[in-house]
Amino acid sequence: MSALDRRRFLKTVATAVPAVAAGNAAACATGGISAPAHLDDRTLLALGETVLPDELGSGGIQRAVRGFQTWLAGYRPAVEVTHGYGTGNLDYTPANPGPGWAAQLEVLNLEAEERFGAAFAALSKEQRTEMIRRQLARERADRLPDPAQARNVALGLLGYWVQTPEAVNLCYQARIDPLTCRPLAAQAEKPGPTSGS
Amino acid sequence: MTRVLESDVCIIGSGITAALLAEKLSEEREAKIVVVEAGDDVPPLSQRSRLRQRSLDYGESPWPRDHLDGYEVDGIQSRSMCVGGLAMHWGGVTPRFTPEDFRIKSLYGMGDDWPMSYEELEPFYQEAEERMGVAGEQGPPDADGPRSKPYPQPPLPLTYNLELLKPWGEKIGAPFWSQPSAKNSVPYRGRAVCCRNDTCSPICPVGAKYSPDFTWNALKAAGKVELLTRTLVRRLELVRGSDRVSHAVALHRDRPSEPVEFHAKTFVVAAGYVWSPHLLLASATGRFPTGLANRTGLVGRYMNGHRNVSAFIRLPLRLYPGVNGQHSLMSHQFMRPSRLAKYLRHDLRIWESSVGGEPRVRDDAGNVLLGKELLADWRKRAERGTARVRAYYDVLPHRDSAVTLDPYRKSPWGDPLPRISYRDSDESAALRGYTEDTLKQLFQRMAKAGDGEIISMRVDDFQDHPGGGCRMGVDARTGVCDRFGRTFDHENLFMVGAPTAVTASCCNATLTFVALGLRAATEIGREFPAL
Repeated sequence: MSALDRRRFLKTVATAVPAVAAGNAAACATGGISAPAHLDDRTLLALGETVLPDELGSGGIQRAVRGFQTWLAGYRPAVEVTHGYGTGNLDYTPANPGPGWAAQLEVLNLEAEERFGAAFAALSKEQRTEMIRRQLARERADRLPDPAQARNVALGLLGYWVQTPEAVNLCYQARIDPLTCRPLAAQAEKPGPTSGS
Repeated sequence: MTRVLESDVCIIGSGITAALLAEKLSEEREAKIVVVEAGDDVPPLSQRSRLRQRSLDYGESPWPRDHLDGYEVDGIQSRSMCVGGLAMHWGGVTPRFTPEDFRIKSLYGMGDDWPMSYEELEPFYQEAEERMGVAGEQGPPDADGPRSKPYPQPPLPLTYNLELLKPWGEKIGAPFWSQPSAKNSVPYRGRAVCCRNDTCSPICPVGAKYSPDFTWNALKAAGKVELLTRTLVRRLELVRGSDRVSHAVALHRDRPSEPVEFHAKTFVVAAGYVWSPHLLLASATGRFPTGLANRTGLVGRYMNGHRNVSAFIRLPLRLYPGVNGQHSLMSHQFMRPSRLAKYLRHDLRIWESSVGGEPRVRDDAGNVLLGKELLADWRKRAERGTARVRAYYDVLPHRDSAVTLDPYRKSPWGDPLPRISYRDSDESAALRGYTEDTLKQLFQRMAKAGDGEIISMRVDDFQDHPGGGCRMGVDARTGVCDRFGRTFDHENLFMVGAPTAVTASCCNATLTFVALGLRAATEIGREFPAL
């Protein structure tokens, strides 16, 4: 496959697979059950350094990126999702978004090489930011989606991170630690400050 | 070959009412109890942390396969069909109805009175609270129903956020207090204290929230009940020449060609608001051509529930969403009006919320936000707090609010499926616009009182905490069963829990369903020697 053909192929995949990911469970039968889900570590870390706040520090960014990879590795399509009151409908997790995201990261590298002559991870933060901004400007989502619903890998990573207790604590500069096991009596107290605040 | 199981009491269904009724019967009476459940058993407590994490991370159901395939019905129904039923993923919210609920015809000229008073049910409310382990505090006398004893557990403490929201809410002149909940504020009956995992619904990973599996596990371990899962009761048969129920005809889902019969002295149908009336309708015979217990045509009728109006209100308060988002403030002030020019009763609850303060990737001007810009925007949005407010309001059912047999849809076994169609009574329908407008105005007043603004408001068309279909009455003209759940047509057939509710009140109804079941247990137990 020539470089141009490969580029065209990846661009097609990068736009087509997320569309499958956003579809229903039936689509996932052909969408990504057996497809590789691991994202290129170096490019993903560079993406994390681009879209996540510096205030996290390099350790926090690495934790977020590793957590996202772990999340993706544990993803299972076509699993029944929570159903509750007010509906008789059953729904299922969508196709694995990993293959589409992996292709998007490859496209980032191709674009970076084409425009700047280097891999995405080797670009300056300004260059990387400009590339991601251009991509997200085409996305409709104002709010961060659940990661599995994210059409773009940057939104997937952000969508994953903002749901973590670490992100909530960073925003509020307080040790809220949502969704974690904590003493009941302490809920009456104002959450204490985080170590860095 | 037909397999026959004999017992004194055959309970059909294993939800929360069935569990606590079985517990009471087994403690007080010498009776062999067999319980039949169409669904599967549920994962044990030891697996629930893992299931919860999958639910949080991926949205996966923490109760996998808790429904029967091929049971998609026409109408809204909650699909859970498993040991413990819907109460496996309930929120553990346990208010009582107020005395007015049982006398709305007498007090307000609306709907129907129940064939019992609050005072008659009160001891069973207390018993239900003690069996589940409810943590709560009594509200002010004018705003909360009376109680004869304290709650079995101290209330769940208000969160820091709710402490800030309480004085705001009370500016409208209504008192608020900690929502009574079947969640442990102290260790209780071998179950752990709540540790704010904040996923009570759909799953508590530590067992601090009461769910019926705890009762079933204890009863099974003590040999006090025999519980058969994956066994679907298809119809009830009468003794030849008598109106007594002889046996239940069932099949095991793994061996559908081998029928199972449950013979018992007493039958208790505890299969919830859809499947209980459905079973009676599906059991039509020559003498009861429209279904058992249906001489007066009331089986499946008067299906009830309550709708709600809710809003998110932004307030100039620094809140910290995530402290314990499922806990709430509650007021029953508006459930207890003395006189009304127009009928409107509702509850009122307040929660912390992160709505309006979430992170986003694009600002109001359309600029993409990344990194520190995203964080700065998020922090700015989080400077103000958000309260979620919701009012359930009383919806009175029409006689034609009904479960019927669907002439077109069949189960995998060839039985007609239910069709569910809700309908407000004419008087309730006429008040709907006024009711919802009044509640919206209330929320606007609340917003104004706190110098806040409403960012969204909605009306849920769905009727929550559904009940009815086998409602109790003073006689067969007004109900399917009496105030103990005994059907008027069949002396050894009892209906319990949600289906027997005359009306749905305007607050969460599970505690009331259980209290009704416990009261029925006293009557059911009379047939058997005391222990």
